[in-house]
Amino acid sequence: MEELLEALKRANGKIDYLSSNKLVTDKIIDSIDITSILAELEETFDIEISMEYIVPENFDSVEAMWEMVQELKD
Amino acid sequence: MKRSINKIHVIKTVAFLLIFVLLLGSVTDILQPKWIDGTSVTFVQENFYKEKKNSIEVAVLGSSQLVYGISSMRLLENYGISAYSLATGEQPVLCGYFYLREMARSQNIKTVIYDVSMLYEEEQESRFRKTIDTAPMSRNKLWMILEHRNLSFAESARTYFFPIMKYHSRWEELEEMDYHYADLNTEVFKGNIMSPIASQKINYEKLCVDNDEIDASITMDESELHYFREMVQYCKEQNIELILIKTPKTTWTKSAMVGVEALAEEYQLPYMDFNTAELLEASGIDIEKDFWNQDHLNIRGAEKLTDYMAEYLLANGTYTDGRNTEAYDEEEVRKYYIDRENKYLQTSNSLEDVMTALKNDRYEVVMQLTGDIASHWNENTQQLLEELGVSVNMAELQNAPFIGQYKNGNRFYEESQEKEFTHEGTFSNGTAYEATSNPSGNEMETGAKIAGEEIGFQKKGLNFCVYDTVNNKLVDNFTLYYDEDRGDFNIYRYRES
Amino acid sequence: MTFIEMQFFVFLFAAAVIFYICPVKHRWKVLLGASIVFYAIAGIKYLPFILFTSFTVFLAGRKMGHIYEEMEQHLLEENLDRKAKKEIKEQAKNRCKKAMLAALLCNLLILIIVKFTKFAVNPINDLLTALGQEGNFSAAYIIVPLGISYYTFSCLSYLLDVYWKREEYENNYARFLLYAIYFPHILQGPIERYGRLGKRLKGEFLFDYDRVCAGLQLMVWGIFKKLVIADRINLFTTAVYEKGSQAEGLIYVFAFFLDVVYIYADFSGCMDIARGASQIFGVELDLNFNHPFASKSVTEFWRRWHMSLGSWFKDYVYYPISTSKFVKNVAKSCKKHLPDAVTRSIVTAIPVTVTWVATGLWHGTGVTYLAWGLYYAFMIFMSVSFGDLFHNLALKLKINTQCWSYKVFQMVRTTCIFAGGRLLTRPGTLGLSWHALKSALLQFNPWVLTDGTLYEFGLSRSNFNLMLVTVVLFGGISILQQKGSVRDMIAKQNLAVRWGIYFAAIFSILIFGIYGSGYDASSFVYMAY
Repeated sequence: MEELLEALKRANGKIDYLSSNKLVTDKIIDSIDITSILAELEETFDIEISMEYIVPENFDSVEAMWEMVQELKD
Repeated sequence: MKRSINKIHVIKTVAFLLIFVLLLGSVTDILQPKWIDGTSVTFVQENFYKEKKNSIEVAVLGSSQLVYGISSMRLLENYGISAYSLATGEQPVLCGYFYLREMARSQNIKTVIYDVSMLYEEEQESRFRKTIDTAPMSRNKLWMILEHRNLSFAESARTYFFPIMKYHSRWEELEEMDYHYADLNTEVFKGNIMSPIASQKINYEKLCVDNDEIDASITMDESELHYFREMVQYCKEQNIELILIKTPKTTWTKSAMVGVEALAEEYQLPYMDFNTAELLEASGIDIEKDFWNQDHLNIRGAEKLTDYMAEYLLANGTYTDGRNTEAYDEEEVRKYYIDRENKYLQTSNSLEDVMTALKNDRYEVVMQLTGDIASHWNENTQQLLEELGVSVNMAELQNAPFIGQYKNGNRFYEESQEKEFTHEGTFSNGTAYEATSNPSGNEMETGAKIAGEEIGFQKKGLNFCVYDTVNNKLVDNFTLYYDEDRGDFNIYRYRES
Repeated sequence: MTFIEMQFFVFLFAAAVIFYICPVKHRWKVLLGASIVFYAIAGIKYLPFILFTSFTVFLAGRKMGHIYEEMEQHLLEENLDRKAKKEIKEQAKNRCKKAMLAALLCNLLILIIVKFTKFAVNPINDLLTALGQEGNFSAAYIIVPLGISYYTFSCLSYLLDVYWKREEYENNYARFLLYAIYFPHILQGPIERYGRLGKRLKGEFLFDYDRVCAGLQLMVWGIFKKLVIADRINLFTTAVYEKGSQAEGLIYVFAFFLDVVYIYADFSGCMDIARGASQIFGVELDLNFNHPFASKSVTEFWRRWHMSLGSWFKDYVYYPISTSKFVKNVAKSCKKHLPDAVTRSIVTAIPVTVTWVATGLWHGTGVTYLAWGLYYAFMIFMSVSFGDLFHNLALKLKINTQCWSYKVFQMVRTTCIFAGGRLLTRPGTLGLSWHALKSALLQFNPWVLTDGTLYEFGLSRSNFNLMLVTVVLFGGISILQQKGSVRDMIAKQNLAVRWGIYFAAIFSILIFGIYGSGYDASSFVYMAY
């Protein structure tokens, strides 16, 4: 989890990722942020996030992102 | 959640639609142009639908030739013939035919007097519009719209059913007239309008076609001819007598007349062409006094043509005397006579005719001397003036400044001074006027003022203002002057071109 | 058939009547039939195109669906280790990829050919003459099926959603065709996803008087925006941008901003007509606009303007490119030699540029649209890369970024950027755009506001003033809309007020709408005959 938050901070340090569980739906993070997040997550966790996973539900909250990362690690 | 339509919904929807239709009608009426100048299609039509049913036996149809060229009121008043004119400016034959059908629907039409000018004219959409858009919806209108659609320039059908689609952009030019115009309807009597202008420029040779050369290239318009034939057929079926005439106009030609003669022969229809020496003589139409312009008669000419037609009608048919029926409208007749008197005055272009017309207690005259009248003055003109009430001898006056006020032989004011002067006076009904006399002045523009309004003459001589003291209107203003070309005194009226 | 023709209203009425007469469970078929009829009326020769696209995508979707189902079965049944599972997934994906690519490429190809063939006219004619034939191939031969840009994108969104396992595949072609050809959205969008519109088209279609009325009201508002506001402004801007017009300085400034209102009124008006019509049947269409001029940045603007398009390009172009191997490789190599911030810029620039150039070319073909795409790519790139810098600069200069006037400044700035984009495409050539911009910036002629020059460009004084009034009205209603549905606000009033407003709106359209052949008073002048 710590790792995740650090990676997110590297992608865009200005956003408080814990403040909401509707980060994408409420437009707190936009598509450009998501691109940066994807790059960071892929590098940090050595995973490949394919298009199937790039849906709002997976990025709306830190928990959702963590779940996705776990799934992809398998 | 309402899952089906219930009564309230239906009532609301129907009510909404009804109000919409009503509003649409009112809005369309306001936006649609009112054709109330010229041949006044709007008033001519509207007045017709107010006529009592089965009170009309003669229909007058055709172009403006007959709007101005015949007096249906005179046919009624002087001969008892009940006529109505639905002639309109540049009327396409299809529209004339439509009007005939409308008239036949609610009236006892026995005879149609039809002017044949339009047979040779190409059609234009605007001419149809004036008829179609003014007519109220009826079976005949529906028929006319469907027929009209065959023409290449006809517009989309929906614009005839919903004229608002064509005229809505008029919103930015709406005037008071668009909202109420009924009180502007003062000159139309049984569909005819009499012209108050007398032109002195008609050339007899141009008018009379007898000596014209035939020009083979003059042919009838196919579409007009087609509907003419249908109209003839209709008249035969309905047992209506169709009389073809051609009112006198300088642009008519022998070729055109010959073409109509052939048609008349084909269908055995009577045809009277007033552009021939024979009929000009028989009707007594005078090119000096009876024409409005190159193509139309004025009130004097129209009444002569009316008299001729009346004799023909009475000799060839029987008509119910319209003067004894319920439909006889005394108020309308009263207004007709006032209009007639005014227009006879307005078309008087000799001092004699003027004096005849001024023998009327409605007319009060203000006279002002603004130019040379003494040089050619003679006894005849002096006597005529004295009929009005003038007591000064113009020859003796020697063009000294002079102003007078008279009515039908009565003198209210008369003054002459050495130098130019202005007189402020009142007519016998209290209306104020102002006149200036300055015969030696250089001003071409001479004027008077009545009730504060300026009146122009544009000519120097003896200026007359004729005021109707009963109806409070200026009826006429003209100048008596010596016309060098004619070697006689003439009447000049300023017309804006 | 466009949305503002009489034909359309007659058609809509007939469709609605048949729809509600029909028993509930067959009503979707009426929609399908009506949509096919609508499309055929627009041009029966276009029909094969949409049938081909929808059918190929449908088949590909079904094939992929089956493959994935098989794959799921496979994964459950046997006892497999992680590696085997991965292999099965890869295999399935590869097989699906073939199906997906086949459908994707042939339909994209059709779209590209249809849109770009007009540029090939001259080369083709040259070729024909070289071969000794007559070179009379012209753009008139090219068929452009109705709504091809919209339905192609809709179908491709379904194709990719199934491929990426975001959507269940549709087994019934009739249902899928309805989604593709559904007439309210075929003309100008919005571009709907199958998961949303497809689902709504399977709903229970029940009659609701209030809903039908609301739909009609929305249509009236849409028609008002288009016929009264937009088409009137268009008369002015067309006259200003005409070759050889006498426009100078402030006239151009007027045109720039009126043009922005024009495109908004026109486009959102059409959207309202589509949404309102769809509402009559009980099918909700997505919003395509969300108070775009309240945006404070360009990126925000494109989340509020033509939302369905922006969202489509984001999901199907931007993300795939930014997560593609190519971009990842570029990122890797950049990271080795360049600072992080620069790498990030480059990595962002690639998908942004591609997305925006594609968006530009989707709107229209030609240099102007290419320029438009590059313009926005640049603007967004600047906003993303330097947005923070500007913000910090503002703070340093002690400019209050939270107050109301700063927010207004941001909105005006965004509107100006949008106006700049319009300036690239509206006049017709880049040369004209440049001329207009130069004149606006260099010539200051305030006297045109009072000496009547304003009324010499397609609109008389009354019409020009009416235009301004309607623009203000439009602004007012838009602001009111931010508080809630205006239709609902009106519905709460008493009957006389409600109906007064409805009649006023309808008659405003009938009287002030720009339609019909017009009335030339001079042709009616009576020539004494």
